[in-house]
Amino acid sequence: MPGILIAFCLLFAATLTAWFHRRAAIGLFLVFMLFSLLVFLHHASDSLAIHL
Amino acid sequence: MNDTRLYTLFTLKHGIEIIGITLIILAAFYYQLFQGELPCPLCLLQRLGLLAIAFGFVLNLRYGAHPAHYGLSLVAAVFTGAIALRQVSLHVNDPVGFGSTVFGLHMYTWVFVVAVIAILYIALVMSDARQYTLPPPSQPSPALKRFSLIAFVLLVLILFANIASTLLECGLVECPDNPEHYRWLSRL
Repeated sequence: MPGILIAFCLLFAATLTAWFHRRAAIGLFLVFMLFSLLVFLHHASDSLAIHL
Repeated sequence: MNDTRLYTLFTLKHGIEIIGITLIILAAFYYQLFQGELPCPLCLLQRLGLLAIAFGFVLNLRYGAHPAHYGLSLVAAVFTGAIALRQVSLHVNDPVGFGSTVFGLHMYTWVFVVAVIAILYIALVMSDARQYTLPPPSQPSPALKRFSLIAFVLLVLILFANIASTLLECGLVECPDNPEHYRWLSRL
Protein backbone atom coordinates (compact mmCIF):
# COMPACT_ATOMS: atom_id res chain seq x y z
CA MET A 1 0.00 0.00 0.00
CA PRO A 2 1.40 3.44 -0.88
CA GLY A 3 1.12 4.70 2.71
CA ILE A 4 3.43 7.70 2.30
CA LEU A 5 1.62 8.83 -0.87
CA ILE A 6 -1.77 8.60 0.87
CA ALA A 7 -0.36 10.53 3.86
CA PHE A 8 0.90 13.29 1.54
CA CYS A 9 -2.55 13.43 -0.12
CA LEU A 10 -4.25 13.70 3.30
CA LEU A 11 -1.96 16.56 4.34
CA PHE A 12 -2.53 18.25 0.96
CA ALA A 13 -6.31 17.97 1.44
CA ALA A 14 -6.10 19.24 5.03
CA THR A 15 -3.95 22.24 4.01
CA LEU A 16 -6.22 23.16 1.08
CA THR A 17 -9.31 22.83 3.29
CA ALA A 18 -7.65 25.02 5.96
CA TRP A 19 -8.13 28.10 3.78
CA PHE A 20 -11.89 27.58 3.55
CA HIS A 21 -13.12 25.64 6.60
CA ARG A 22 -11.23 25.56 9.89
CA ARG A 23 -13.00 22.69 11.66
CA ALA A 24 -13.01 20.35 8.66
CA ALA A 25 -9.30 21.05 8.13
CA ILE A 26 -8.45 20.21 11.74
CA GLY A 27 -10.48 16.98 11.43
CA LEU A 28 -8.62 16.03 8.25
CA PHE A 29 -5.31 16.89 9.91
CA LEU A 30 -6.06 14.58 12.84
CA VAL A 31 -6.86 11.75 10.39
CA PHE A 32 -3.58 12.53 8.61
CA MET A 33 -1.61 12.41 11.89
CA LEU A 34 -3.09 9.05 12.89
CA PHE A 35 -2.48 7.57 9.44
CA SER A 36 1.09 8.94 9.31
CA LEU A 37 1.83 7.44 12.71
CA LEU A 38 0.77 4.01 11.42
CA VAL A 39 2.93 4.45 8.29
CA PHE A 40 5.88 5.48 10.46
CA LEU A 41 5.39 2.51 12.77
CA HIS A 42 5.37 0.23 9.73
CA HIS A 43 8.56 1.69 8.24
CA ALA A 44 10.30 1.93 11.61
CA SER A 45 9.58 -1.63 12.67
CA ASP A 46 8.37 -3.99 9.89
CA SER A 47 10.75 -2.93 7.12
CA LEU A 48 13.72 -2.09 9.33
CA ALA A 49 14.20 -4.31 12.35
CA ILE A 50 13.97 -2.50 15.67
CA HIS A 51 14.82 -3.95 19.09
CA LEU A 52 13.97 -2.00 22.22
CA MET B 1 2.44 49.72 19.43
CA ASN B 2 -1.21 49.80 18.31
CA ASP B 3 -3.33 46.69 17.70
CA THR B 4 -3.34 46.95 13.89
CA ARG B 5 0.45 47.15 13.73
CA LEU B 6 0.84 44.25 16.16
CA TYR B 7 -1.68 42.16 14.17
CA THR B 8 0.29 42.89 10.97
CA LEU B 9 3.54 41.83 12.62
CA PHE B 10 2.07 38.55 13.89
CA THR B 11 0.55 37.81 10.45
CA LEU B 12 3.94 38.49 8.84
CA LYS B 13 5.54 36.10 11.35
CA HIS B 14 3.09 33.30 10.46
CA GLY B 15 3.80 33.80 6.74
CA ILE B 16 7.56 33.79 7.27
CA GLU B 17 7.26 30.56 9.30
CA ILE B 18 5.46 28.88 6.37
CA ILE B 19 7.98 30.19 3.83
CA GLY B 20 10.86 28.98 6.04
CA ILE B 21 9.51 25.43 6.02
CA THR B 22 8.97 25.48 2.24
CA LEU B 23 12.59 26.64 1.82
CA ILE B 24 13.83 23.61 3.81
CA ILE B 25 11.82 21.28 1.53
CA LEU B 26 13.12 23.14 -1.54
CA ALA B 27 16.67 22.43 -0.31
CA ALA B 28 15.75 18.73 -0.07
CA PHE B 29 14.44 18.90 -3.66
CA TYR B 30 17.76 20.43 -4.76
CA TYR B 31 19.58 17.32 -3.48
CA GLN B 32 16.97 15.06 -5.05
CA LEU B 33 16.91 16.68 -8.50
CA PHE B 34 20.44 18.01 -8.94
CA GLN B 35 22.52 15.60 -6.81
CA GLY B 36 20.50 12.50 -7.76
CA GLU B 37 19.72 11.52 -4.16
CA LEU B 38 16.37 9.79 -4.08
CA PRO B 39 14.62 10.10 -0.70
CA CYS B 40 14.14 6.89 1.30
CA PRO B 41 10.78 6.17 3.04
CA LEU B 42 11.97 7.66 6.34
CA CYS B 43 13.30 10.71 4.44
CA LEU B 44 9.88 11.16 2.80
CA LEU B 45 8.21 10.85 6.20
CA GLN B 46 10.53 13.55 7.55
CA ARG B 47 9.47 15.87 4.71
CA LEU B 48 5.86 15.04 5.54
CA GLY B 49 6.43 15.91 9.20
CA LEU B 50 8.15 19.21 8.37
CA LEU B 51 5.29 20.21 6.07
CA ALA B 52 2.78 19.20 8.75
CA ILE B 53 4.43 21.71 11.13
CA ALA B 54 3.34 24.43 8.68
CA PHE B 55 -0.32 23.38 8.99
CA GLY B 56 -0.77 25.15 12.36
CA PHE B 57 0.90 28.26 10.92
CA VAL B 58 -1.58 28.24 8.00
CA LEU B 59 -4.48 28.20 10.48
CA ASN B 60 -2.85 31.09 12.38
CA LEU B 61 -2.39 33.01 9.14
CA ARG B 62 -5.98 32.54 8.01
CA TYR B 63 -8.00 32.65 11.25
CA GLY B 64 -5.68 34.45 13.68
CA ALA B 65 -3.43 32.96 16.34
CA HIS B 66 -4.88 30.30 18.63
CA PRO B 67 -3.11 27.96 21.11
CA ALA B 68 -4.76 24.93 19.43
CA HIS B 69 -3.11 25.86 16.10
CA TYR B 70 0.29 25.99 17.75
CA GLY B 71 -0.54 22.68 19.45
CA LEU B 72 -1.03 20.97 16.07
CA SER B 73 2.33 22.29 14.90
CA LEU B 74 3.95 21.06 18.11
CA VAL B 75 2.53 17.55 17.62
CA ALA B 76 3.87 17.55 14.05
CA ALA B 77 7.30 18.74 15.25
CA VAL B 78 7.53 15.94 17.83
CA PHE B 79 6.47 13.44 15.12
CA THR B 80 9.20 14.77 12.79
CA GLY B 81 11.81 14.55 15.53
CA ALA B 82 10.85 10.93 16.29
CA ILE B 83 11.23 9.92 12.62
CA ALA B 84 14.58 11.70 12.32
CA LEU B 85 15.82 10.13 15.56
CA ARG B 86 14.85 6.69 14.23
CA GLN B 87 16.98 7.26 11.14
CA VAL B 88 19.86 8.68 13.17
CA SER B 89 19.79 5.54 15.33
CA LEU B 90 19.89 3.36 12.19
CA HIS B 91 23.14 4.91 10.96
CA VAL B 92 24.77 6.11 14.16
CA ASN B 93 27.44 3.35 14.07
CA ASP B 94 27.96 3.62 10.31
CA PRO B 95 30.92 5.91 9.41
CA VAL B 96 29.44 6.56 5.94
CA GLY B 97 25.77 7.03 6.87
CA PHE B 98 22.96 7.50 4.34
CA GLY B 99 23.13 10.22 1.70
CA SER B 100 25.35 13.25 1.55
CA THR B 101 26.25 15.60 4.40
CA VAL B 102 25.55 19.30 4.84
CA PHE B 103 28.14 21.12 7.00
CA GLY B 104 29.33 17.74 8.30
CA LEU B 105 25.93 16.40 9.36
CA HIS B 106 23.62 14.08 7.44
CA MET B 107 20.26 15.45 6.40
CA TYR B 108 18.33 13.28 8.88
CA THR B 109 20.48 14.72 11.67
CA TRP B 110 19.64 18.22 10.43
CA VAL B 111 15.95 17.33 10.43
CA PHE B 112 16.26 16.28 14.08
CA VAL B 113 17.98 19.58 14.90
CA VAL B 114 15.27 21.51 13.00
CA ALA B 115 12.52 19.59 14.82
CA VAL B 116 14.02 20.38 18.24
CA ILE B 117 14.43 24.05 17.26
CA ALA B 118 10.81 24.08 16.00
CA ILE B 119 9.55 22.66 19.32
CA LEU B 120 11.49 25.28 21.32
CA TYR B 121 10.47 28.08 18.93
CA ILE B 122 6.75 27.22 19.02
CA ALA B 123 6.82 26.85 22.80
CA LEU B 124 8.31 30.35 23.03
CA VAL B 125 6.11 32.16 20.49
CA MET B 126 2.87 30.58 21.71
CA SER B 127 3.54 32.00 25.17
CA ASP B 128 2.98 35.58 23.96
CA ALA B 129 -0.65 36.04 25.03
CA ARG B 130 -1.14 39.38 23.21
CA GLN B 131 -1.62 37.60 19.85
CA TYR B 132 -4.74 35.74 21.06
CA THR B 133 -6.73 38.86 21.97
CA LEU B 134 -5.87 41.06 18.99
CA PRO B 135 -8.95 42.07 16.96
CA PRO B 136 -8.50 41.70 13.18
CA PRO B 137 -8.21 45.14 11.53
CA SER B 138 -11.43 46.45 9.95
CA GLN B 139 -9.51 47.31 6.75
CA PRO B 140 -6.76 44.68 6.29
CA SER B 141 -3.98 45.90 4.02
CA PRO B 142 -4.04 44.42 0.49
CA ALA B 143 -0.27 43.84 0.66
CA LEU B 144 -0.66 41.73 3.80
CA LYS B 145 -3.50 39.72 2.22
CA ARG B 146 -1.35 39.15 -0.87
CA PHE B 147 1.62 38.07 1.26
CA SER B 148 -0.58 35.60 3.19
CA LEU B 149 -1.93 34.15 -0.04
CA ILE B 150 1.58 33.79 -1.53
CA ALA B 151 2.81 31.91 1.58
CA PHE B 152 -0.21 29.60 1.43
CA VAL B 153 0.10 28.94 -2.32
CA LEU B 154 3.84 28.22 -1.92
CA LEU B 155 3.05 25.59 0.71
CA VAL B 156 0.31 24.01 -1.44
CA LEU B 157 2.65 23.90 -4.46
CA ILE B 158 5.47 22.28 -2.49
CA LEU B 159 3.00 19.72 -1.10
CA PHE B 160 1.82 18.94 -4.62
CA ALA B 161 5.44 18.62 -5.78
CA ASN B 162 6.03 16.06 -3.03
CA ILE B 163 2.96 14.06 -4.06
CA ALA B 164 4.18 14.02 -7.68
CA SER B 165 7.73 13.10 -6.63
CA THR B 166 6.54 10.27 -4.36
CA LEU B 167 4.27 8.93 -7.09
CA LEU B 168 7.13 8.95 -9.63
CA GLU B 169 9.56 7.36 -7.16
CA CYS B 170 7.36 4.70 -5.57
CA GLY B 171 4.36 4.31 -7.86
CA LEU B 172 1.20 2.95 -6.26
CA VAL B 173 3.03 0.43 -4.04
CA GLU B 174 5.18 0.67 -0.91
CA CYS B 175 8.37 2.73 -1.33
CA PRO B 176 11.60 0.67 -1.42
CA ASP B 177 13.96 0.99 1.57
CA ASN B 178 16.84 2.09 -0.64
CA PRO B 179 15.45 3.63 -3.84
CA GLU B 180 17.81 3.81 -6.83
CA HIS B 181 15.52 4.96 -9.63
CA TYR B 182 12.10 6.45 -10.28
CA ARG B 183 9.79 3.45 -10.71
CA TRP B 184 7.23 5.26 -12.82
CA LEU B 185 9.80 7.02 -15.01
CA SER B 186 11.65 3.74 -15.72
CA ARG B 187 8.39 2.31 -17.08
CA LEU B 188 8.33 4.83 -19.94
